[in-house]
Amino acid sequence: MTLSELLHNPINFFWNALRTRGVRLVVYAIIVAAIFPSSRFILLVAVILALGSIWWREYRFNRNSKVIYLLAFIAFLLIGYVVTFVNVKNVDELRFGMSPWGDGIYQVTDGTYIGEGQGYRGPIKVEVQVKDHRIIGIKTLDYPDLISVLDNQIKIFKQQLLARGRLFAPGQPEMLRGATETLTGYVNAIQDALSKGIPAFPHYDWFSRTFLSLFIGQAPNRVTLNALAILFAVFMVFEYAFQSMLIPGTGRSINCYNCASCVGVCPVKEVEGVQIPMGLVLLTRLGNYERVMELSKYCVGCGRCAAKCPIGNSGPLVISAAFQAVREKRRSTSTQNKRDTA
Amino acid sequence: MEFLGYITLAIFLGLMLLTLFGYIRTPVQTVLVLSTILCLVVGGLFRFSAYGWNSVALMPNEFLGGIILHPITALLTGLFLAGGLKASGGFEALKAILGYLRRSPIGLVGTLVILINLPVISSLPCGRILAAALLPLLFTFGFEGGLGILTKSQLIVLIGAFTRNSMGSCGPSPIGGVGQIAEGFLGSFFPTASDGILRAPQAFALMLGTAVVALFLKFISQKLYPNDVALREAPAGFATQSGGAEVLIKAPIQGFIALAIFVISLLIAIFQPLGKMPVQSVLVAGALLMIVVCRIRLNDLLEGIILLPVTAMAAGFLAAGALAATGGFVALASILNSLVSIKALGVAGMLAIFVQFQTILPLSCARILTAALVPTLYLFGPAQFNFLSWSQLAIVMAAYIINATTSCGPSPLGGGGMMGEGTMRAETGFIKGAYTFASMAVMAPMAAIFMKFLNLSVFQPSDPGFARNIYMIGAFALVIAGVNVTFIFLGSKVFNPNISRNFVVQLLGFLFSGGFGGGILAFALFEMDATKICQGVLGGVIAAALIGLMVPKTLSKRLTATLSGPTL
Amino acid sequence: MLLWIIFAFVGILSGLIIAWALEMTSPKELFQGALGGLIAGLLMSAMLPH
Repeated sequence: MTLSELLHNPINFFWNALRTRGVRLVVYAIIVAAIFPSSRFILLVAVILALGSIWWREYRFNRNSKVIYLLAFIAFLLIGYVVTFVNVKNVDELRFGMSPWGDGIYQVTDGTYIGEGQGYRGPIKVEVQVKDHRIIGIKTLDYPDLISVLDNQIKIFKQQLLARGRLFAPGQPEMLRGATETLTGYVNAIQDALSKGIPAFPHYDWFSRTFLSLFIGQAPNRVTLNALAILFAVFMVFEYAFQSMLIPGTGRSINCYNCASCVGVCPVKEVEGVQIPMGLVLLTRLGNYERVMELSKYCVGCGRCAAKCPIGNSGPLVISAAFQAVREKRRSTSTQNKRDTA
Repeated sequence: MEFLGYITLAIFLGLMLLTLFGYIRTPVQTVLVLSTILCLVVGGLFRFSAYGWNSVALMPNEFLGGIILHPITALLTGLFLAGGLKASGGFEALKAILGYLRRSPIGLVGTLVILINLPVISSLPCGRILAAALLPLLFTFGFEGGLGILTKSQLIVLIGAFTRNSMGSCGPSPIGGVGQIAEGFLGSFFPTASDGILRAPQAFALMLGTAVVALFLKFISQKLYPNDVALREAPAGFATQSGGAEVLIKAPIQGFIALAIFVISLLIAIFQPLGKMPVQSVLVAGALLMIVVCRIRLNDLLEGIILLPVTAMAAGFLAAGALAATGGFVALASILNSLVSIKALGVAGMLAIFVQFQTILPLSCARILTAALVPTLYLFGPAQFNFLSWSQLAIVMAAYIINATTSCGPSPLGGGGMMGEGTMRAETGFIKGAYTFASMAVMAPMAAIFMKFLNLSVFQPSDPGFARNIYMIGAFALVIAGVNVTFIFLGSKVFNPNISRNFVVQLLGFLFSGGFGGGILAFALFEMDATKICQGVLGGVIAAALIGLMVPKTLSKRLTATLSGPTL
Repeated sequence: MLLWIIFAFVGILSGLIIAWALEMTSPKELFQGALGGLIAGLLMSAMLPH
């Protein structure tokens, strides 16, 4: 797959990309990162480490220069991190003097403001009304934490806020799972709303906001790690099964029961540490068609395995499918090379 | 709506039976998914006509509610770990350790005994993993494999017993084992059920059952099917290598490291010394550590995946969800309830049959039917029908689960026993009698007794009614083993070249042992209630008849790859 | 403790039966079989919740 193929034949390019395991793994990582902000940093590190080790090995053996692109990307990340860090530090220092907490309410102009904070289960949105430098009304617009925390924790805090007319730190809630996070999220939402009423309240610049959102997301915690472990397992199995659906003729390999009854009747049984023909079926399922081609010379084509297999798989069947897959890949590489040379 | 339940149950059972008897030549998971879709369509139509669209809209939630993700993901991550172990030479390290053991005071016999029981010790989530790794090693002990240490008969016993232990080892596994499906249900009453309430009964029963399988293969199977194993004996004058110069198996250091990582991951997952954490996280961490330390690739983890148990469990849960959403379980429970009303059978007799259900209908993976039928068993307890108390339900679950776990061995639909048959060059069906006999006559009753007299006292220590009585367990183990060993031994003396007569003798043995096992199950549940024990005996006889009649009289000569024997 | 004992017992029993099935019935072989079964039983018990 090259950029020239993308330009000349984009459908073929994307189809070949889809049929490449590495590309699919990166797509899974992107999907997970998009859905779970707290996983972005971990996935970024994992992808960099994985690509780094693979491309470094390729560089050492083939002088393949892909690793340079990765190094450039890492350099971009480092520069971006430094720029973001400096910006965030400066803005936080400026904000310190313009905080809407406590007496800072006097900086907030009259009006109604909407703010957002991260609760235990999702974003909490509030609408805050300010008049004469007092908080006179708070309306909860979006509150996903209803299930995990008692309402009256928020209700009590809201009553106290309205009584005092200004933002202050709440007391430690009772020991309910997620209650502290919910309350903190609620407070952050109010702070966010009030800060919008302060003229010239400093915000992070667009680069820092984008960088933080894309590459850092939220702070990972134990739940993130557990969820990632399960998603990893699910995606890997999906990936394993999906491979067989992409190459015509190899779909049968998905049904292999690993019962090895075909090995029992095969006159060859085992070569180079691989059980024949079950090993060929499993290699096909994995997508290692070149290895199947290497081992295919040992299959005598008697077809006993087909009759013995409870679902009719056979060595000759998967060999022919792997042969087709390898031939198609070689043909497409050769066409691409000719085009590039021309 | 009740009628709907019977229809969907008929669809489900009908498709299963057609697949089992070979009329549908499609992988069983595919059939299950089709059955699910059909049940949902029929259910949707019924609901729409009876209650309108709103009722149909509720169906997806009811259907998906049947899927329990934990055992599926635990199984997946367990398979990754096994794949990493294989790729890094961990199984070679295991073979090297076994080689050391052979040269130790426990000798060849002791090593073989440990080897045969290794699958249950290692607690992998699918018996095929270790079987695939170690069956080639076992084969080398025979003449064709090179070492020539064991005769053909001994090799048959070794391979058959090892495969039996393998194809039951997934039950007590704490990383996605079959038992975890039922432990979830028992968690309604026993707060620590998910710690492994069903593990010890299964492991105990498997140990004893494996030994009985070995004996059955030695004394019965080889007499019933004398020409159906294509292994060759060593020719006269072949110098056996029992003393000596065998090739030492060398394992890379990464293999030993990987083995250590595997064991540590397993121990952390079981005993949770670092605090409560999901099993899946521990296993994935172990697999990733293997990638880094043992320098294997992600592809190697993928190679460890055996799709069958994963898809079997998923398909089973889908079918269970469809049955739950359409009232199929209630219909099944009603049918079983009507069996209870037959005086000769009663609750004890019905349970004696139900417990053996998956041995009567063995599919390629226990999870398929277990996921679908354990909810029905659960309904017999205080949750619905109240035939059984919670402790009795736990006893029945233990018997049911071990029977279910070991059902994949004798399955003709690509069951794990075919791996052993393939290795010993036997015709399909050679091991069926041995495996089903041990499950029915030894493992199920033994698991029930263990649960009753020991395990319940561990998981419900506050209840003084549970007797911690290892004398009873020991006595029952001796009696059960003794009775069945006697049947095997006596039966073997009675066999002669008449195939039909041998089949009848075997069937009688099944009936006696089945009745005995049913009686023991009834005793475990209802103690010294004579009526219930008689009902249990009758139920056991009926189940044994169904099982015994499915053991083949002769084996198919289709594609016998043999270079010896009179048939060629 | 009881779990260890009962698994040791069934391990020995199982080892003896397997040794008999493997036609290794000399006293030394039966002893080795029992020892192997004992080790297997104890290992199994070690992996169980106590």
